[in-house]
Amino acid sequence: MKPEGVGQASWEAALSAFEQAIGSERVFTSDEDIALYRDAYSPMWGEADERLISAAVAPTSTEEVQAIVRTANQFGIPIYPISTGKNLGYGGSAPNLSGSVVVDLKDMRSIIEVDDERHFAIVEPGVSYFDLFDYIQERDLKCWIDCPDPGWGSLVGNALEHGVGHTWYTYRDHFASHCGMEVVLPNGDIVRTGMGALPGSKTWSDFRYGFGPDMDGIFGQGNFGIVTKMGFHLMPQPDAFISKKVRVPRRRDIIPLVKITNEFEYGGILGMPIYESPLTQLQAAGDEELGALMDSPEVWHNDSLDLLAASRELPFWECTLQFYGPREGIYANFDFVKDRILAEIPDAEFVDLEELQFPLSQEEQASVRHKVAVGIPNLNIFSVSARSRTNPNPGDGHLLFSPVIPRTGTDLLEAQQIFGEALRGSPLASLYTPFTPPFTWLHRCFALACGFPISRSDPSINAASRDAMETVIRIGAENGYGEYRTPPLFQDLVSSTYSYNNHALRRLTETVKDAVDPNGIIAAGRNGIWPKHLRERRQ
Amino acid sequence: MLAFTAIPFYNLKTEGLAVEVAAPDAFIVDTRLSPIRSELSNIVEISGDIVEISGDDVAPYLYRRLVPAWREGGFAVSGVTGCDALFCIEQAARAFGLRTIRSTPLGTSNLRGAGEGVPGSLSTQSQELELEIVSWLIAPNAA
Repeated sequence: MKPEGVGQASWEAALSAFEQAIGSERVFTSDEDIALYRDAYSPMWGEADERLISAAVAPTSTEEVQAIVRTANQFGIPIYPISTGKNLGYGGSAPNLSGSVVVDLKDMRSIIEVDDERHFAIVEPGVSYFDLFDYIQERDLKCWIDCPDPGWGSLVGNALEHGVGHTWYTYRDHFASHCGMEVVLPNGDIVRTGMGALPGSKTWSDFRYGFGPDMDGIFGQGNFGIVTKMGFHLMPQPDAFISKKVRVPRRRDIIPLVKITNEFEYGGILGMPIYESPLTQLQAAGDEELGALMDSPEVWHNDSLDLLAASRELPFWECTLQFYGPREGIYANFDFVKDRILAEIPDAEFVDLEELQFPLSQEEQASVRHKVAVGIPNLNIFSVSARSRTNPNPGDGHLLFSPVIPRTGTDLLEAQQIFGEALRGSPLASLYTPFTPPFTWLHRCFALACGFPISRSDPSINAASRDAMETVIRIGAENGYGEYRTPPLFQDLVSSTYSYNNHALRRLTETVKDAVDPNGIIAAGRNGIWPKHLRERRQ
Repeated sequence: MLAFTAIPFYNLKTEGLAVEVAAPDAFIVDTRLSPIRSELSNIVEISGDIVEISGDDVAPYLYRRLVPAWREGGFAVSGVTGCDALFCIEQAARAFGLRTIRSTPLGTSNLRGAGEGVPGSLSTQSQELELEIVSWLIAPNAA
């Protein structure tokens, strides 16, 4: 395959130029090599519309990236930068535009600086969370990473995707905790943002804004350049960590519970609260009594599920409360939070989970209950997703729907019903129920996320998931719930839902795109931003 | 501790499909399969530089041994693991130009354990894994 609209002579000349710039061993065109960049969670796996690349190039330096970009401009080659290509559920390493050349930044792996007095790191895009974690551990530095689950992705790639993690407050908003970038622009020029624009700056990784407009935002979920360095603020290693679980008996107890946890998280006392419901296990096990109750549309309004939970001696909701800081202080904080919860939910119950004091030995790290809560990257989540009695049809992966809803219990209950009723009667109706828990990755909102199954052997599963995804995207937007992130196949649709004032935001981004990348070579179509010559492709 | 309740394997040798495992640089055996190791040995030749790791989290071995070896070039690795562990290893291997040359399902076993799920994950907590077991070989692409 070669990129559409590129003549054979131009294509061969471009490949030759890539090889001249970075070495032939770093230019990949064989079918076997190209297959390595397929999205393992593609909802179009094996179908005609699966997004596939034409080639890949793997530079090792900013200068090589510049050479690639200049070549791409010269010959009109669409390029698609990836960091470590682990964006599973959101497109992986596959581009929006088939035939693009992937610019694989995995070998730009320098950890440029880590400072555990000012608590920052500067890294290149090929640095994974595992890499930085090991770097910090080997040097006994007193700072933490915040990583997603699984932790094999790139700090730069994840942050640019607006990815999220699991530790304390803003550290888990990875783009918010970045500070400064170096970017190769579509014309091959290099820009450093924030204080990095001042030659010899001593605060590039301390003060994000620099002077004048903050341009960093356009590179997050954007296609205006290739980021080659990025700074991150790191959480200081705390003295201790404790986690407790609170159990509440009724569905509507979530309302006061969320109100209290919000107050304490935003006030700096509580870490990321994690909401769960034991009823999801009953559902996954095919509980007939639960199934019968769920068949009624009245299930959203009556107390039938409360009664069921009580009869099984199960709480309706559980919430893991996590505290970081000096040991004596966090126990005092927990007591305060507990008293507040009991004042509003007198029959709430509390369970001890874990206490840790830092630093941890390697053996202690291995036995941590929830590793990402204390900044330890791991791949445990893939075994959780394996087939089990409570997960009988795990699929080969998932398509992530990630709507943002207000962080209140009332809004949660309403959104569950909206999405649940939207899918009623479909094979995926079970994904939204009165006990679907919200995710708190976004520290000021809920993400009422779910994973629609995908299959690498059964296209009908993928078709059903695609249909469901389109349904919930539209229904969500109609109700004021936009997605914060979505796979390439749905990026045009999601982009179209952000339509205020005749799609003014999209018109603005297209104006910037046309100015910064007039040949439209970088990541065409990413998040609905198409270059001028391809704009009619928008779905 | 894991207690094992087996359901019958598809015996590849019986069916005349004896599995040959090429001599890899390392052979990974998933420790979750320890209760059925002897039965696995009847189906798959487990030999060479054997490494036992927990398939629940392959990350330590993957990032401390395999990735550095793959960066140097080459390093074929074979194994008998849960399919979840294979997925992690093969996805990581792709970045270094390696791919799964052979993947042979060996059957499914019930493994009961005291494991918890990952809090706040998209998947429900699992007290009992029905592990799909696979024999596999990951090697560099042909030059």
